[in-house]
Amino acid sequence: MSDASPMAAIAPVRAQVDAHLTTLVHDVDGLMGVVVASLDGFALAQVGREEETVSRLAAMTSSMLALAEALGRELAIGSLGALILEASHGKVLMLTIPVQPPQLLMAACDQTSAMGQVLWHAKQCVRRLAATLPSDAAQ
Amino acid sequence: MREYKIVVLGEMGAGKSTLVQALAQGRAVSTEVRNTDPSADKPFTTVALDYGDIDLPGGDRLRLYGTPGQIRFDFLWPILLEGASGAIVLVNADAGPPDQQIRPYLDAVDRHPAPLPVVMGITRMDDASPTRRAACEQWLERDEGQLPIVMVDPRDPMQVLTVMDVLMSQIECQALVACHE
Repeated sequence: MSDASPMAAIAPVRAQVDAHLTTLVHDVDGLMGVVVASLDGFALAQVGREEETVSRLAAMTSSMLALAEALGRELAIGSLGALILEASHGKVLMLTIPVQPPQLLMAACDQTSAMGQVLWHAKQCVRRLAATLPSDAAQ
Repeated sequence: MREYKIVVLGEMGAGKSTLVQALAQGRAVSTEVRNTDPSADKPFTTVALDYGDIDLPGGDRLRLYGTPGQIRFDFLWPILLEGASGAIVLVNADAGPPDQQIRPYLDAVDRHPAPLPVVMGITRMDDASPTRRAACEQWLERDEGQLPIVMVDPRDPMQVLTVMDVLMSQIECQALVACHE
């Protein structure tokens, strides 16, 4: 257990995190919103989504990635890189941000987005977030 | 072969993952991650589900699904309750008032389209502070007996099997009643 909540830990760099997320939304056509969540499903930052839905999206992202990670373990295919969902009216991309403890990025797009473009920009964003977010090397 | 899907509900820290692992002899699928909630003194927490299965001596099979306990994961409860044969609701005797603890989970069971047999399991009674133990005992005395309640150490597979026996009896009773309606 952490001594402080992940929300409190992110507060000093909140403006930079928001700027990285805004850049991602700006750079990708059809990107409707992005959410940064803790591994255990707390919403930490977001751009483009209504506040009341963000908490649920953060929890769902946590569940989806944990389940995908468990599937990866079962199939012995290594650690999870990204989870991509394609639906009739949109696409969702979920990525792990490699800080300690790890955090999560969820990007929701409409059907006009090209997944390759979303993936490339989202990975760039993850790199920037990893350089910005506090990381506890002791964990 | 008959298969029974059993869903385990209850607050974070009540022993759901431990129970599923005990019955699956440590081979259950787990989605535990590091807990970052400073209000919960627990290093890891389940964020999607636990899954374990066990073959019963008569040739039947139990499929056990543990759920995340936190309210922010309540979207998963109806998904996991879909197609369930029964549910176990764990009550942590060393936590808040039992009637308040169980309410969200019993509400989720009540919203299930078909009546679902439920057994409640009280955990951590030995660890509970005198005040909490007394509160739990008072709750048991006040209980109107609508649901069976069993003390259980979720680490002990034999005690978990006892809970399963009670739940299977409930499931069979309900099936019998349904046959005569």
